[in-house]
Amino acid sequence: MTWKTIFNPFEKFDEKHMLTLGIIFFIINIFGCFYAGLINDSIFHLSMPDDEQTIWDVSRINFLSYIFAMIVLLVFSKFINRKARIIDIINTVLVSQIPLIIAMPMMGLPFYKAALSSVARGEGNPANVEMLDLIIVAVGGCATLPLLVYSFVLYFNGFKTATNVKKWQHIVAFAVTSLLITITSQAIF
Amino acid sequence: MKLPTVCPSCDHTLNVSQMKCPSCATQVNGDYELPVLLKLSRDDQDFILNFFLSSGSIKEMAKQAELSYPTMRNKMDDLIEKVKKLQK
Repeated sequence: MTWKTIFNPFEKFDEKHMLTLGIIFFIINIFGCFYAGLINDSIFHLSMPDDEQTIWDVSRINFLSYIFAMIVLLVFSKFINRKARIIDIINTVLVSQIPLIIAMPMMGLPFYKAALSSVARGEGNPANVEMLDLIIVAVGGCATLPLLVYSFVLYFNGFKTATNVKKWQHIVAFAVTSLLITITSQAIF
Repeated sequence: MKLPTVCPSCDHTLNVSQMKCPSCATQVNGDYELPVLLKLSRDDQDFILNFFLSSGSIKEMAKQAELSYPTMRNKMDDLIEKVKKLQK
């Protein structure tokens, strides 16, 4: 396996294998979110709801946010290239989230969750935040950053392979659409 | 031997000026433009030949090249664009 394949597996691997992998990780993600007390209210975003969520609540929100992203991206991809297929867009969304799902167990650690809550409570009043909590959150952030970057790389390369996008105007429109997907999804779900 | 299609000096597409019968050595001279497909690079010509030999199945070509279907379709789309430009 070359670096090129690692950063763009969509170029090489069969779509059915990618879809299977994506669905397996989607299911793992539901349990991961439930364990960590988080929800995927949009792609690339996890939020910590105040009230206790059942596994069905987590499944519903995760499912809807993924479906929302897939539908919007599919419509957008058809504007760029009418030959773009739904399975390639589904794979783009599902596979690009895998690195973040891998980072999930760390977010479920009790001391990390406590540190995160402490930092969130201290928003606007940093003097009240414990230094140790700040260090834990900073270290956690640094540890997940490469996975987040890898996730974005997979997301862009998946879309690029699905649509054969080349023009910079389309790439900018893709970035704006992706941003709108995450903002809208978080507002809805 | 590889047929050169591009001028090594200015990169312009070359024309055919002479053809020779290998059997009787008859020579034909003139200024003939290369057919569109011959103006393509060797790799592109091989791609089209493979496409033909795979009965026009991009899926089959992708399988043979160990690449995904969209990657192979994108290569085909790029090639179509290239041929369209050459036809103008």
